[in-house]
Amino acid sequence: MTDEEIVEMYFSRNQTALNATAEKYGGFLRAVSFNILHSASDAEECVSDTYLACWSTVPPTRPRSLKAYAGTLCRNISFDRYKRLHAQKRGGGRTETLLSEIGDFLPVDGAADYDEDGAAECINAFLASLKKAERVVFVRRYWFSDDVKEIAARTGFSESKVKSMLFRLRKRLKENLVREGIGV
Amino acid sequence: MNDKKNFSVLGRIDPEYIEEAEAYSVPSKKKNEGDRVETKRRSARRSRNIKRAAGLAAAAVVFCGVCVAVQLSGAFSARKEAFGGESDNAYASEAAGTGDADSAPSGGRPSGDGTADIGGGPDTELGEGGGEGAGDDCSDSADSSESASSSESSGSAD
Repeated sequence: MTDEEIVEMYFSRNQTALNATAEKYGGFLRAVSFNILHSASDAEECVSDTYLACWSTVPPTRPRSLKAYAGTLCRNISFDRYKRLHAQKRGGGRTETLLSEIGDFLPVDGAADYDEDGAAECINAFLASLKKAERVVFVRRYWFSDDVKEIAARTGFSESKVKSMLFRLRKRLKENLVREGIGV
Repeated sequence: MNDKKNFSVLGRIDPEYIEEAEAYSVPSKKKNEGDRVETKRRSARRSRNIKRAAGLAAAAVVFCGVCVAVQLSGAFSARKEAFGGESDNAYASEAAGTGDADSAPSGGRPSGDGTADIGGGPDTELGEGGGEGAGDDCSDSADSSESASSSESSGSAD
């Protein structure tokens, strides 16, 4: 079943759309959620919440890519859950490392508020300027929340190469954002 | 909380890139090729090192050989000079017509009375005072008493 057909089912309020989404993207969504929460049961709950979020937001939204849309929803839901679970105890985990890396190029807690649309646009323009391998490494790390080891296995680069690539990419993106007035 | 905002900003990455990143995977064949290339490069480096070490060893051997040859030739020429100088002297004296016993060819020491003293040791006089000295030295020993008794007995026999 294609994405368009599934989206049409959502629009016609056909509940088979949820089963179709689960069948097609269930594993992908579980992986995305697990990369943030590192708990299979929590990830499963987040995936269920994602189906519900899809049901309540499509329509009116008509996603270009259902996979990316559901993935983004799942990612945000998982992160909310992560924040709730780790409200008291911070630091040490993989997600904390990821957040601190993101803080290298985007404003951290307590910093001035910034335009989210402008930042997203700038990030997409930056990604468009990258080579394919660099873009994949960046997206795998900061969208999929993959570990460096997993990225290295997927791309065929060494772990140190992936780390140095990410470091350089963060630095370049930060320069771009500062130039656009979305500084750290 | 900006953490949440940052996280959601990154969530707004173009779906096209997400699909691309999802689909991207280096084929295992390429990975194997990479490993093979790495192995080949490593073995080439190893063989290059071995060749270099062998070359160095050969150079060292040649150098040692040359040194030994130089030393041997030096020693040989020195000896040749030593032998050649003395024989030259002999030939020169022969050519001058003084080929008597005073001019011994080699290995001996010319002596003043015209004889060649081949032994080379100090001149000693044996036989005159030696016996007496020996007897005096060993007067307290049993041998001397024996010899004394034998001389007495021989005296009585006389």
